[in-house]
Amino acid sequence: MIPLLMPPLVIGLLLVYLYGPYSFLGHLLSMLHLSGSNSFFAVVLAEIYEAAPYFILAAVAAFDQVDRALIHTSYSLGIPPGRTFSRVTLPLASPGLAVAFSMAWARAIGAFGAVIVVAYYPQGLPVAIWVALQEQGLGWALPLALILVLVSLPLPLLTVLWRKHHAVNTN
Amino acid sequence: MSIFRFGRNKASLMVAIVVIAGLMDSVLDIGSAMAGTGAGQIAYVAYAGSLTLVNDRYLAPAFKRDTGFNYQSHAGGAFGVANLIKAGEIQPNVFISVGLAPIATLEPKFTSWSAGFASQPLVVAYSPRSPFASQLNAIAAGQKPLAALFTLMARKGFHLGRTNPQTDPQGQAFIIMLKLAAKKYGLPHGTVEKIIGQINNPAQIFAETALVSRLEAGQLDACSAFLPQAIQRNLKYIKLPDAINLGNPAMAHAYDTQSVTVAMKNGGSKTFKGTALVLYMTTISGTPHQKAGVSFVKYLLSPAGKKIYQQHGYQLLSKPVVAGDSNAVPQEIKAELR
Repeated sequence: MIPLLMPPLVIGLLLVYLYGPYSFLGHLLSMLHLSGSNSFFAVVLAEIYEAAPYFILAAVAAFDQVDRALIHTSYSLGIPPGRTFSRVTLPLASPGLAVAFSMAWARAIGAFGAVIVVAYYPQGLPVAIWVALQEQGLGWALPLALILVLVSLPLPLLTVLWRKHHAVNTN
Repeated sequence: MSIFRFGRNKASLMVAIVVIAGLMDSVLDIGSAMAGTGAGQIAYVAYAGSLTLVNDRYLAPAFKRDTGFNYQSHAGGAFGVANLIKAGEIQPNVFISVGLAPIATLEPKFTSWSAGFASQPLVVAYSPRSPFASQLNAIAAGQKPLAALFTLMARKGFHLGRTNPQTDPQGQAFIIMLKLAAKKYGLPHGTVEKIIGQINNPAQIFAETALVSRLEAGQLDACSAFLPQAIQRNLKYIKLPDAINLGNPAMAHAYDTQSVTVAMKNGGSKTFKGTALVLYMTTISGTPHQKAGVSFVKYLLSPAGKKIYQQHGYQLLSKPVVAGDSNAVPQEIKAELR
């Protein structure tokens, strides 16, 4: 919840403390030839921090929707918890989890505040849009925004289609 | 049915939360709107982002108190702000820019004059937590020659930060400063390249907003900064002489001897020549509340306004310089420029 409550820019600054080159984690990363600043890895980490709360909250709701009686029935048939989870709970929660993943994906792909702090250059699309808007005007930013939509939209659309397909099959 | 009721209650709760959040947001918005539309006219000032603190926190309250006008502002990269003005996205009556180039993009439709009134020299800010801090302290205190700074920055393992020379004037100025220093101190050939790596070195380039914060977090050894930034944020810094700090308009001819060429996004390249980092301001014609805008410029050029800028690290020009069509300067402002 904390990443959700804080402005993403602040999350970015905290991540700088966490895995900047002079931090303990930053040291470990450099030993693995990874950099927590201005790299693809840094972009992904910042996006995960911004998007994770959306996934977790929606996933919790998805698991809450699963009928407990079915889980207890599975236990009563002697199916161990791990198998009950993979064969009963997970399939029943999967439509909700797909929505959770879509939400997190949408948040991650548009993540800006934390990303601009930890991974400004080379630029991801949201940062490139902001720089284009700042330096070259709306005419340069809009095509990039269109690319962002084209890149990010297929996954949520597929999720919607899959949910519909899943609902039809279940019924 | 009970599940439905529970769902409806939950939905109602969610709606209530959203409404409350919206109301809180609205209250804040109404507050700021009321501040801007109080009695009389509004000086709506757009400016380069580095001027935010001095303008909004120090100059604006004094201006409002002394003139009775209201104040609104918009901060951002100077070229970005100019783009917004051209697109009609914002309608400020005053624009303050670092350098002339952003104002030049508004000519002749929105303005045909500007006045330079202060400069912001470059410094090298550094972290007291850096492993190189003792050497940097010695250079800052004058116990070691300034040339040692450049040798130190060229060392492997020195974490330097700077802004993007493709888009940010400070990023361009920093490289030009290094070239001026290499010439002035006779640094070994290739020192500048050793310091910066490639022009767009991803290990060094950060957003302007994040650069100083990264230094404060102790994750950089040193970074480029303007003197006012370093003073306002209580950073440790190494002052550079006028010959290389791009802060003295009288030395513009010397700055002009160095340049930096950067690759642009459209595939071409652009060369930026060294120029003094002077703050220019102008009024924007065709926007509302012109009287308040003129009053703001007058106030900034008055002893009270200039003193506020000086207190926050800006170097006042001995006499404001007018660029463009001097006949277009509003009469009320002309008096302050004399």
